[in-house]
Amino acid sequence: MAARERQPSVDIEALVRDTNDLRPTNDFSDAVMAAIGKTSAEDVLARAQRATDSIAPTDDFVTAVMQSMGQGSARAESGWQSGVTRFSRFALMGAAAAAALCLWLSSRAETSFDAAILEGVASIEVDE
Amino acid sequence: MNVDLRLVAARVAGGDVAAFRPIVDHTRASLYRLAARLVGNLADAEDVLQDAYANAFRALRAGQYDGRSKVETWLYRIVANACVDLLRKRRESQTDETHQPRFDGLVQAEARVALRELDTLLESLQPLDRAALVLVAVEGLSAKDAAEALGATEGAIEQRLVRARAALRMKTEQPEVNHGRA
Repeated sequence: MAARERQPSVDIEALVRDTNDLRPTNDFSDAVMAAIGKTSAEDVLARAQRATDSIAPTDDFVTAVMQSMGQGSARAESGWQSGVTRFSRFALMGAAAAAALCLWLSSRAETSFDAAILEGVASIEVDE
Repeated sequence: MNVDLRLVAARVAGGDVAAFRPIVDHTRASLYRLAARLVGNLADAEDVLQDAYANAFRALRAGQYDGRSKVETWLYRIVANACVDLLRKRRESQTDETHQPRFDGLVQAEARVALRELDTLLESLQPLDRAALVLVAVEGLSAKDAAEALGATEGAIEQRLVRARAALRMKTEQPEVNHGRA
């Protein structure tokens, strides 16, 4: 019973102890001075310096900057990846060039084969 | 960690576009802070900084960075002058339209309030007077360094500082005309 009666006072003591160190930041003083219209230019400049001392853009900013230079995917691309990409491009261009060469050779071969057949037929006709 | 960005800049000049990323990574916080303090809001600071990086990149590729000053100092000059240009444009067009910043996720509300207050205080100043004052009084540069950043003489910066401080003193000492209004 006595312990139960003592409980509220214990709580209050703890509350007093815990709130003993409560104090506003320096911004509170600034806000009070601003509210009564006593903010000097130097105060504003000092506050701007203090409040913006640790501002920074997010990581997305770097990505946006790199994208504006046409390097949007450069972030994730390491050395070996760019090597693979370069090799793939080279291989693709090589394959395209080889295909074009094959087409040209095939058309040349077809033309000369047709010419040979025509010549053969003509010589047979002459012989006859 | 100390990184010699001159070597990285040389790689960018040699055609390695991706090498520009460490330069942006290493300098973005200080230059964002500089731009925000100079132009007085985060949205304009982001735009100016992005353009400044693009200009710096083009200048590096064109071999216009001679390596005599540190990359950080060179970029600082580019951003400071880009901000002065923006302040001039803003003054000429007299538009109040501002868009929302996009990359301000790490900025606390207190900083936004302080920037708004700073912009209101400095809005009537000439762009170069304002820049000189911010570089010296907020960024903490000497008059000599501020002069170097803005491409002016030290004497000219001193003059601008005197003029800016006098204008601010007049502004803050003006009696409130709206006192007593309901």
